[in-house]
Amino acid sequence: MRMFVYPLIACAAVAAATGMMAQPGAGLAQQEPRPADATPVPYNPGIGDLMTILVQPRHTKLWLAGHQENWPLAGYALKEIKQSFARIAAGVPNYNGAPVADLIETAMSQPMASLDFAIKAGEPRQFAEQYGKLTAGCNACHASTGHPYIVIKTPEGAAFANQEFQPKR
Amino acid sequence: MRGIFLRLVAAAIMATAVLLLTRPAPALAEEAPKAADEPVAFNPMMGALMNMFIQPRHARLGLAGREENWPLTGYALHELKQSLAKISAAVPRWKGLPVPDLFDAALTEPLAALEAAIKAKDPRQFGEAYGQLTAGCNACHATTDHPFVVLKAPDASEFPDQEFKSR
Repeated sequence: MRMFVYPLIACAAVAAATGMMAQPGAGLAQQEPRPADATPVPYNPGIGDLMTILVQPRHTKLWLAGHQENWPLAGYALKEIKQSFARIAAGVPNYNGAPVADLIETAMSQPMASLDFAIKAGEPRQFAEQYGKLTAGCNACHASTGHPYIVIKTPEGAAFANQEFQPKR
Repeated sequence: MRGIFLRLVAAAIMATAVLLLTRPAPALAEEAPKAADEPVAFNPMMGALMNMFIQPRHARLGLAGREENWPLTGYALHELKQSLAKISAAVPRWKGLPVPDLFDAALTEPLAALEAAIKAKDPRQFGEAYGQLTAGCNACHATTDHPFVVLKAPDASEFPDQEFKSR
């Protein structure tokens, strides 16, 4: 721990001093900019980022809602997943040379349509079956894009301790 | 030793405060309130970026490494590094401190040790390097005045829909 603290503090103190000296008027404007003084570049999330923040949580929520037969919430989770996929296809049209929209279409459209049907019918058995197909679609896509070690499964346990998934009776 | 540490922290904080206070005031136009119906692009700052991109990767790295799932562990490490680089570019200076330098001081060494452990498929070495990485995170939090943000090796998976065991 200490081995990190001292270099960090030293670097913080030196940087603060450097920052002060580099204020406009200090005559250092012509110096080559250091990374810390570079113009901020907006964080452009890649496909791994987008999967982490948009898709994986919805995949989990979809199951937790459907498993509890909370159909309005399951329908909402499915809509959110579909929307996220559409945004990802638009944001990252090509991934490792593969067309993302086509990959998503191939892997997801059939199970998502069946899930939509199961949710509208309030049919738990069909929901579970199609959820399994959706998950298999995720994994097939991971494998075909060179990430077979990213294995998604039906959730075992809850992930959102601050959300109720049971329907209001 | 503790006294030196505290004095150094105080010096860093004082220097940062002076730096912030001596900055030119922002133009009034920048502060003008936006109309209620005018959307503003979401511009995540350090805390949001840490929540969205770093903390999940830190957890996944630990979970995959614990299961000795080396391909997934390597991927998690790669993703973590990439996110740190993007954050350095997105928020190059935070509270007056140089983010690339902070990351470099806190994380370069443990990240390299993790890479070596993953390549060697050595769980003991991995566990040690992961501990160093986590300590680096916490040292950086402490340096940037957030000592209450304390990361640790995950007690359990927060990803119930992901398999971390090797197939």
